Amino acid sequence: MSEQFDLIKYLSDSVDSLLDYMKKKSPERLWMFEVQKSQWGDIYNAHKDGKKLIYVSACVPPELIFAFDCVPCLLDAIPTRLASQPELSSKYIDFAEQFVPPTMCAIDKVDVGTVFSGDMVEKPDAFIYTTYPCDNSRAIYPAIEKKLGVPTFAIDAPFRKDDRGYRYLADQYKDMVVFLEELTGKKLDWDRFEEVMDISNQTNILMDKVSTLRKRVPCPLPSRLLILNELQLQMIGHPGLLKFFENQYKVGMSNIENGIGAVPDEKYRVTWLQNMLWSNAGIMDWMEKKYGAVLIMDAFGYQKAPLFEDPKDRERVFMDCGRKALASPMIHGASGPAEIYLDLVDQVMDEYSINVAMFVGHVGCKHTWAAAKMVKDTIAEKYDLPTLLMDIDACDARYKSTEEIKEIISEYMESVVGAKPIQ
Amino acid sequence: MDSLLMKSNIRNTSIEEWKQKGGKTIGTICCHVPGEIFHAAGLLPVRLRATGCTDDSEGEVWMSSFACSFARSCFELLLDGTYDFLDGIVSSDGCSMATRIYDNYKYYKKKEDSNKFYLKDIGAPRINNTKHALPYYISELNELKAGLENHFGVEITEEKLKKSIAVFNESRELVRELYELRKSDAPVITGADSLKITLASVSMPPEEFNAMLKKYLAELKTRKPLNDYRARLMLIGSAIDDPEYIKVIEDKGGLVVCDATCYGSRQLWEPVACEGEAIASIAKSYLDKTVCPRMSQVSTHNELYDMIIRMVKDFKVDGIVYAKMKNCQVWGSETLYFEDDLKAANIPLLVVEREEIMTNAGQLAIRAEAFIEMVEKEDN
Amino acid sequence: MSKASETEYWRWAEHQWKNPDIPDWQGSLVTAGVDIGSTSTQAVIMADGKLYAYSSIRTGADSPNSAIDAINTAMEGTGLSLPDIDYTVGTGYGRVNVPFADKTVTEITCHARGANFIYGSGVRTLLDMGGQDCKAIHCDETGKVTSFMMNDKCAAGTGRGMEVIANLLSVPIGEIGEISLRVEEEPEPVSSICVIFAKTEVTRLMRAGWPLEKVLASYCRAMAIRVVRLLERNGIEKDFAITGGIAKNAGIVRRIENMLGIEALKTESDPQIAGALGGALVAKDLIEKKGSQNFQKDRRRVNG
Repeated sequence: MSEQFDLIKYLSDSVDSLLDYMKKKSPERLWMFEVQKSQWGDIYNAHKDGKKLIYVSACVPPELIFAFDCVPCLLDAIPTRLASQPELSSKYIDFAEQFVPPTMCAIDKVDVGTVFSGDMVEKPDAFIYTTYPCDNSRAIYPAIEKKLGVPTFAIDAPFRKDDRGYRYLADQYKDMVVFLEELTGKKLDWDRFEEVMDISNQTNILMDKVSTLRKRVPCPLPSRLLILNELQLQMIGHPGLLKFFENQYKVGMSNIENGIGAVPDEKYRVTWLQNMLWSNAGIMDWMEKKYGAVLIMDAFGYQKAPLFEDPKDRERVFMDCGRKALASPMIHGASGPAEIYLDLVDQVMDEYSINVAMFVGHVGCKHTWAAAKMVKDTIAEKYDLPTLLMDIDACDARYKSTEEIKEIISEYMESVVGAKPIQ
Repeated sequence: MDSLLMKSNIRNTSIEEWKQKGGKTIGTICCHVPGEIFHAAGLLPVRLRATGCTDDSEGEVWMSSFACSFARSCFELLLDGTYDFLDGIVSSDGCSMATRIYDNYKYYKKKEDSNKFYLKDIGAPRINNTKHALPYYISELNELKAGLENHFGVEITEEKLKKSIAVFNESRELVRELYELRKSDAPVITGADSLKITLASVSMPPEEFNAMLKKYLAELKTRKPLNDYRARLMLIGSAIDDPEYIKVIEDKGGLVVCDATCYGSRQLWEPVACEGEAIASIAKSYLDKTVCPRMSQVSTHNELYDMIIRMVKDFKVDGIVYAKMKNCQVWGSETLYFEDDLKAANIPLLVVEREEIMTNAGQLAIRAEAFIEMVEKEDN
Repeated sequence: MSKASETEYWRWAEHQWKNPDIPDWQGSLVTAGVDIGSTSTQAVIMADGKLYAYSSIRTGADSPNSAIDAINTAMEGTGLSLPDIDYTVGTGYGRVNVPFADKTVTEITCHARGANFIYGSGVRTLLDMGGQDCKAIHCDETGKVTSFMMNDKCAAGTGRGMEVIANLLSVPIGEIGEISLRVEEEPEPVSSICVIFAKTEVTRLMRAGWPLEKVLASYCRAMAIRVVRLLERNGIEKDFAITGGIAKNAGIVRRIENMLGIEALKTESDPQIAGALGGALVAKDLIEKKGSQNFQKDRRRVNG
């Protein structure tokens, strides 16, 4: 009988190997990978460390989980992590397609596949989910709840991002605190919570500073670093993430001082208007090399986050949790009325001085595809720029080959944008 | 003057008459937009749908091929003039696609630069068993109420709301009677015609609908039973607004006796219990009773399953046809919840993929026929 | 301009068979099943539930004529004529066009009955790879369908798809399977199985220096993957059997077996007749149920 594959152990071990390798090869880049150790290592070791492991979805405030000294495992982080390993991601996607339509977003297919296949060996102590970001997640979370059979807390995310919405979330987060108190047998430690909120604020301030660096022409930081912004969803409030952004900011500042840009000669400032292409991140490096085209900011990625205005105000902090949740990556654009998405797109185009717009559209994200024309028209109207619309699968590399993606982008860059490949 | 069944057309004589009288019409998207509120404002609510749409290419330009064809087709009809009798659209976030019909149309309408057309979107909770859900939904409905009052210069009083609740409840009562008839061993109405009736209920003034359905039911009871069917089927799945779809199945001998679909049974079961304030009563009823897989909680999936089992028993169903709209995640994933349970309960299930515009009825027909051969009772 | 010299690679051998062990049908209950598929038509005649005669011909442009040709071919040398057949079931894509059929039944139901007869009562999972669709069928020990799933969206994995490949590569269709098995190492499946892009794909592979067997292996593998997915979605239970024309393509069959880890049951009979055979069995059931005296024939008239 073959041994049960333990996915989390595998991810944790992989990070360890990667760190060992980096220590030897390029220790100056170690900081990019240490944060992943905080992520997967903490999850793998949660029970060993005497902490409760809680599976979470987007919009569950990590700060509150950390305040209770628990370890959050963002289910959606797994598919984005596995996207670069087709042999694993395809295993879970194919498994899930026995139960869910093949047109479901691959992120949620992998979520279903990992949980239902039994490869998530260590059972969590609880599951907390919200009704964001989309129909795909809403369809599967109750099924995951049934499958896990652990105490579950469900939060209804509001349709609109306004005070009524923040209040709606705030009230439910307070109920979530009661849930966590029952789970852990401890009352919320407000001192600890304040510490975590402080780290969270510091991190967000740094993230904003890093983003501001990217607004410079030329951009001092490489395209690739955008991927790790999504860690915010799971790890905001964790010292590991703070350290990561401290380092990133240092590197950015140093690059500026030394006149180093993401590329030797920045010709194009690109935005990707939908999901990150986790299944083929190398495309970003290739764009930099071939055209001097730097991915400056992605619309679904991190944008300016609200801060905890007053960690001592025990009412306000929950409203702030609501504000932050609704401003988090992907959520801010993908969920709710399209107008907010269009405003976000406008903001990115403007603040980051974008001159090449690409809608690199994950096919599973059907409702943002259903807004793609509005996005394209908005950009055309306001910035007199065309937008490349390209369908890809952000987590299933099999959908479109690297060659094909490169062909499409090359065609666009050369025929429409007028770019010439750098010799 | 259209017959009751003909009122299932999006444009029918009732709509024309209403318009001629100077009446205003609002298109609603999804189940959580209560028709009662519009009715109390003296407006006619009609549920947006794509019945009869034959081409959604313009809709696809806006909504992309990744959107479900139901949403694309609805949008197509908004663009091609079919719905030009509307004075406004109100949507709830039934699913992301429903939201996008509204978003795209609002964007499209921008260029008209006129405030005459009323546009509003409301949020409806997806989890109804927290103490915050109902107040949230009530505040959304109150905002809608105020918006309608402001835009159309009307006052929506408690009294008017209560009257509207009574009228809509009567519709529900009558549709229940219709479905009761379908339980019979000697059914007198096809599933296709029943859908036409429930479509009519959201396409014409409810008072008129009630009067016509009363007459129709009286006549139905005198009809000779249908005897040329081979199996009794239940239809479940994404919104089915096309009686022709049901006809393809019934032409093969599979009589559709009941359903758990949006334009069929589900909307019209429980009446609105009016206890206390009208908006609060409406909100409570719509929040609790709408058993739609859009709700993201285990209890709703359990409720849906229980409802299906109950209907299988009450309507003596031989097999369930589960029509999954392509690209629909909301209904598309129910397999995850109940496929094993249905197998264990020995209830045959046929899963078919559906597009709003039926380009190949043959594909549905062969599956339906094979399924009917599989489930028909020996003594037929 | 005459096309007589052009070799038709897609053309498989039409044939006819008569059971040598049944000398005379007189006094038996004679039933027939006619399966009009998109590419081939079979007619099967049974005498008292025993396989008596059958034919397999290419479906012509005119379905009613194909049905008549098929039954006539099957009856050759038997002394039978149409009125001697007590009950006929029409099945397949063109089932409503069998002018002399007493009833039409879907090929899904018929293939399951036919497979039960051909492969035995142990068959539970059936894969029918027909002219323009594939079906995964579950049946019980009596050959009654318990569940099914179809893939009729495209030609890949079907007889039609095979014919396109045969023509493109100038390989007689009956040899494709055997040639594809000559590869030493199994190649990657073709990236696009779509028959519309087959020409582009084949050209690309040939230009890259792929030998014929490798190209065929790549296609067979891709088709096998597709049908295995269909089977897995419907669930797989032993015993497993394959019917339809492509059951004779060893290249596809072997690959399916390898992927599933299950051997498909083999038969001496022609698996392509399963549908018509099942039709003849269903015909027998129906007439026995009705009782031959009260039985009313409901023959369709040929138009024109």
